[in-house]
Formats: sequence, structure tokens, C-alpha cells
Amino acid sequence: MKARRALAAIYLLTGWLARPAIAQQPTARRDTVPLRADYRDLAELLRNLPVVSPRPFDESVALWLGALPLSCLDRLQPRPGGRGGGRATVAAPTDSGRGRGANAPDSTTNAAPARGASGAPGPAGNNTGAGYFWVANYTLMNDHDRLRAFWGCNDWHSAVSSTWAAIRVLQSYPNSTLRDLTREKLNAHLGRANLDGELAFFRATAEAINPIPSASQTGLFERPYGFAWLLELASTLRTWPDSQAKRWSTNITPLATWMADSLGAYFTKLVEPIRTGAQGNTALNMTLALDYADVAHDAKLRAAVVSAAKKFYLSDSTCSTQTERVVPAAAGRGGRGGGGGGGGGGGRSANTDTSRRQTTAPNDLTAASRGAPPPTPFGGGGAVIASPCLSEAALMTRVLDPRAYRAWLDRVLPPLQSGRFSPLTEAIAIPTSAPAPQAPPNGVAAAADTTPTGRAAAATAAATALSTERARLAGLSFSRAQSMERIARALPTTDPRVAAWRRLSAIQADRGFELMRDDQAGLSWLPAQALLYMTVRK
Amino acid sequence: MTRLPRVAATIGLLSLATSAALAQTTIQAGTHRPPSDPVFNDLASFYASLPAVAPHPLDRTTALQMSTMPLSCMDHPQPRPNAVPYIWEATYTPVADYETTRAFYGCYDWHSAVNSAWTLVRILKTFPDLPTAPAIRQKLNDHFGASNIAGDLQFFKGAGTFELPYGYAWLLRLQYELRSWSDSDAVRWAANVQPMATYMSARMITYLKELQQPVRTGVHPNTAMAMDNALGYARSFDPALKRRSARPPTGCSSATSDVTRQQSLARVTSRRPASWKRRSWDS
Repeated sequence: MKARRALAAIYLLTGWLARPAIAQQPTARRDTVPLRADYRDLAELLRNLPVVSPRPFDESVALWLGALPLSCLDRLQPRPGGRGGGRATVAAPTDSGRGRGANAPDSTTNAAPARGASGAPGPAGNNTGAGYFWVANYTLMNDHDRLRAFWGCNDWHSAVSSTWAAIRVLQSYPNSTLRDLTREKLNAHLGRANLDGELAFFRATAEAINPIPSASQTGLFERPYGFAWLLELASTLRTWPDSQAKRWSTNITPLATWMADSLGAYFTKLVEPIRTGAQGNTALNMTLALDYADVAHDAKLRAAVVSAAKKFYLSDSTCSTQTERVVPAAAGRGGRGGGGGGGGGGGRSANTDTSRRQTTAPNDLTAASRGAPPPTPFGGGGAVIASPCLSEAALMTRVLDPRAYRAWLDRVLPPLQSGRFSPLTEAIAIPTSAPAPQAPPNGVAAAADTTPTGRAAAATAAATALSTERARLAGLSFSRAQSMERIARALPTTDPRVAAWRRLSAIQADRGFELMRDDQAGLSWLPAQALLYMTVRK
Repeated sequence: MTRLPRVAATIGLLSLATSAALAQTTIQAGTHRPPSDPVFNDLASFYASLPAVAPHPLDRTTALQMSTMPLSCMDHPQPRPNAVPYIWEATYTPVADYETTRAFYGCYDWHSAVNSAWTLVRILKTFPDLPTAPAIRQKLNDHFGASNIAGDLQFFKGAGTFELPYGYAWLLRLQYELRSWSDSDAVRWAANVQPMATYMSARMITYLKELQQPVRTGVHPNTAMAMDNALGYARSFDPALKRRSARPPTGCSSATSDVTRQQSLARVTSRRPASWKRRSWDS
């Protein structure tokens, strides 16, 4: 009798232990500020939001955003081997002149082909193993300005997005004072030979990874982020009835077609989506790809994106917006470039996937949201420049019909007035300091250099790190605003949430402009982020 | 009397299985099983359906075969990078004196060189009188020299997250093998490798501490795999690493773990129909 009762107890206990842990509500992380309480309704949320009206895309904004790409398009991407990229610049302050305009979040990729140029061992922070056995010596190719199109602005995808930004400004203000200069630059970069050279380069790069075109060609240079931006550029050229633009569009079409095929294959072969807020974020890149697929009537790419998006996101449960609060980087949690990387083995090719060779940013709570894994060879590492939850919600506006979308959105995003959503209702706090960019790898702090030169170098490094962090947060703000506009656009105009989404996006974008204004960092990639937000807004 | 615990265990297991099955039904709601999947009523019928395959013994012949592969690759330099240049064209030369300042420059890449060395150590330890034993000793002597390891250590101190965690974990397995062997050569090799193991163990501890989510994909940085490779060394020689391995990452509150678990379950649901049939979880 006793034994039977004991058995029953064991049965109950084991059953209880093995129950699915689904019902538990995630609570706030210990290390974050507690979330505010839920508001009663949308009206209460709107009453509590600052009144910010969206900045108009007027001529002064256009001149500002249009001048920046012109300043970087002809500036050679840095030589690999420790001199490129924000991190390396900071690590070697004597090189800061050459690293001007380098900005980590969007371009740490540059440090990647880093092969120690002057001998072993490689420069500090080289995560690729460059210089372990083979030591590289770099020279500039012949005719780079004739055989390549996107060789400026720090890195390939920034060159592409800067070209796009120049085009958007010219398209919107065809008679501005920037007109002639912009056309001259675009002509020089988007010529027939330039774009044919690009296509030849990418074909050869893909073939070096795997000669079979239908193979997955893991780690292909600039795929997905750079490819997605190139498609955005191609789609903008296509819809512009301008005689020069028609020529540029003809020139870029073979490259765009090739990249559309390749990107479609990439999405199809992806085992799981990249849910971090880094450049490799799958939803983010799929959205740009759809912009192109619709304009270019590329049914194959559209089908690839739609079916992968449904496979990845359709059955999602509620997204963890509560973890997307941006915690000031200096307040602990390791800081960017802490030791948490998972670079993986190999690193054989210099032209590897952008997301793969980025350094880790373990400080970013947004990276940890949605159960995002640390960097893996599937991509996913890198600084957070987009909202995982909002990017996904923006993508699905293009995948589902309006009714199905609203049902999906109601399930996947918490109500706008809820406490869980509150991190996305606030403008990102302006950082006042940034973590040291180069944490000592073994946790043993190097002796502080107290000489005047050493102190000056440390001050420069701190200023660069702060400016880089501000640029990252500006990019994140614009990207959030862009997703919010895409979501608002998909809801019926009678929906009371539309006004709330528009207000929220204005708040984010306003902070983006504020963070971007006085900084040198980010100039090669932020104008495109701002312009994309303003383009989507219409 | 002896039956009672067994019955209890059986019932316990059954209840586990039932609740697990219930959980599965919950998460599988909405998907339906492909008709071609065979259904087994119990473990015995499933077992009977498997092909009869006996485990391959590690005998002398196998050991001999397996030793030839690492022997042939340890000195074969890792391939020259073959990236197509975008605008900066590179010419490559090997590091000067690599034979005395690098330990693991063969076998395609660093971690493969390390686990090839481990393979040789393991084979020599198990079959000390193989006909290839002298060649193995020579190879290990060449690569485990004090200056070779010192050069490697100096390189890794400036190499960021290169080979972390996969290669680091393999090096710790190698060092576990060396230190738990009383062979006189091995004692010398272990002393040479120790500074590298100490450094890599400390880095592993920081890495595990800062990791916010385990890497669950079946690729090189998989967290469980790295921890398993490092565990022998941690248990026997490194209490700090052992403690860290047993603890959740500090960055993780229990809430985060719950979120992860939910998302893993959701992911399983969404992937099941396609991947189940082909058992390609690790593709």
C-alpha cells in the first residue's frame, strides 16, 4: 500500500518535472531596468509619447545626405592587414589618419582579410589566424577605377549603399547644386567596364569557394548584406526615367541578375534564419531583396524569399521586444570586442561572408534577444544595427496578405501599449562613453601607458570608440524607424495603431538624425540608412 | 523486494515518456506526420529493424592505418589562401623559421593539426610498439619543441578569437592525453605544451562566462562539443575550468533560458517535417 503511494508520488513528480516549460512568461533580465507597467490603451501610450513630427525630406536634408556619399565614393577601401576598420584604427592610433571615416558597426568587415602585412604575428584583434603560416604583402590592382565599381567608402556594401544614396538624392532633387558632381561620380563608377569587372570578380570568388554553381558556396563575400543592397540599388535605377540612369541600369543588370539568383539560393539553403540584429539578419536582407524582386519582376527570387520567410517566421511565438532595450555600453556587460567570439575554424579565404568575420558584440542585449546564438559560420555575429523583432515584422508585411498579416502581427508583437514593448517606444539614449575597443584577450590588463603620447593615444581611442558607438546607435534608430514605417504602411488607414507606429518611427528617426549630426564615424553608411527610412515613409 | 525499484523505475520512465509524448503532441499540433514514416511500438521492434553492425575494433591494423594519415599531413603546410582579390592583390610567403616557431602548421588548418597530433599521441599511447612508433615519436618531437609551442603561444596572444572555442578545446584534449601519460618523452612534451594549455584554458573560462547562448547548430563552434573536448583536462588538471563548465553563463538569467527553450521548441516544430525524414539535423 505504502509502496503504491510512493509510486504514485514518483509518477506525479516525474510528470511534473517533465512538463513542457512553455507556459512560463519570460520576465525582465536581472541586469536591465525594470519595464514600465502596461498602459491601459493606445490613447494612453500616445499621451505619454513626446510629440515628434517626422523630419521632412527637404532640400537642406538632401544636400546634407547627398554630400556625404560624394566624399567617400572615391576614397580607396583600406589595405587589408590591420589598417582597415574602426577597431584596427583605434588599436593603432598612429594610423588614425588613414582610418578616418572608418566606423566599426557597419564596416568591421574590413579587418577581415587581415593578413599580417609586415610579418608574424598578426595584429592584435586579428580573428582570422592571418599570419600564422602565410604572410601576405598587398598591392593595389591595376585599373581598379576602370574594372571595379564599388571600391570606395570603406567597404563594399557601404560603397554600394552610398552609391544608392547619391542616386536617391539626385532623383529627388534633380536640380540641386550637387547635380553635376553626382552625375560625374555615378558615371565614373557605374560604367559598363566597371560593372562587368564586378561580375567577373564575384563569379571568380564564388567559383573559388565551390565550382558547382548550385552548391551553397558558404561564406561568399558580401552575401547576404552587400547583395541585398546591390539589388536595392538596381531596383531604384530601374524605375527612374532618366536617360543616364537607363544606361547605368543596363550596365548593372547582369550583376543584379547574378546576385538575385545567388541570394535566392542562399535563402533557400539557409537552415535557420539569423535572428541577431547584425548585418546578416535574414529578415532585413529579405526585405531589400523583395524590393528588387517586385520592381524587376523576378518571380524566382520572390518565390524563394516568400517560401523561406514562411518557413522561418510563420509559426513564431511572441518576439522578445523586452530585450531590445539598448543598455549604455559602458555600463558593464563586457563591451564590444570582449572575448566572446566564436570565430570558428578555418578562415581560409579572405573573401568570406561579412557576418562571419565580424567581431562579437556581447554587450548588445539586442543580440541576445530572440535566442540569438553567438556568431557561427552561419553568420549572425557583429554589432547590432537593426531590431530583430521589427525587421521580421516589416518583412512579413510583404509575405502575407493583409488579413493574415494582422493576425500574425497580433501574435508576434506584444501590444504597443504593453510594458514588454516599451523598449521600442523610447528613443535610444545618447551614449556618453564607449567601452574600450580592444579588451585584452587574456583578461590581464596591459600596463597603462602614462607618457604624454600614450595618454593622447588613449584619449583618441576613447573618442573614436564613442563616435563609433554613436554611429551604430544612429543606424539602429534609422533601421527601427524604417521597419516601423513598413509596418504602418501595411495596416488599413482606419487602424488606430497606424498613428502610433508613425509617431514611434518619428521618435526613432529624430534620434538617428541627432546622433548622426556631429560625428565623423558612420558617414560612409548612415546617409543610406536615413534615406531608406525616408524613402519607405512615403 | 528487488522488483519494486525496477517497477518504480519503469513507471517513472513511462510517465516521463508519456509527458514527453504529450509535449510533442502539443508542439506538433498543426503538422501531420508523413505517411511513409515507419512506426515502432517499442524499443525492441525498433532495435530489430536496425542493420546488424558490429563496432569496429581499434586493433593494431586499424591503429597502423590511422597513424599514417596524421604522419603524412603534420609537415604538409596549410594551403595558401586562395581568395580572389577585390582591389588589393596579395602575394604570400611562409613565416620565417616556421619549423621552429610554429607547432601546428600542417594538416590543412590549425585545429586539424592539433587533433592530428592528438591522434598520434593516442595511438602511440595505446600501441607503443607499432612499427610506425619511431616515426610518430620523431614527428611529435619536432612539433612539440619548446620553441615551437612558445611561437604558437605568442601568435595566439595577438590572434583574437581565432580558433576559439573549437581549436582551443582540442588543444586541451591533447594536453589531457599528454599529462595523463608517464612516458618520458610525453612528460617533456607536456611540460612544453603546458603554457599554451594554461593560456587556452583561461580564455575558455572567459569565453564560457561571456557566452549568452550556447551555439546549438552542428558546426565547429558548437558549445557542447567544445566543452566535451575540454572536460577531461578540466576535471583532471584545471578546477577553475571545471567549475565554469558546470555553471550557466553569468549573462543568462533564468528568464533568458526560458526564452531560449521556447524558441528551440518552436524551431523544432517548424523544422520537423522537412528534416525528420532525412535525419539531417547536423547538415
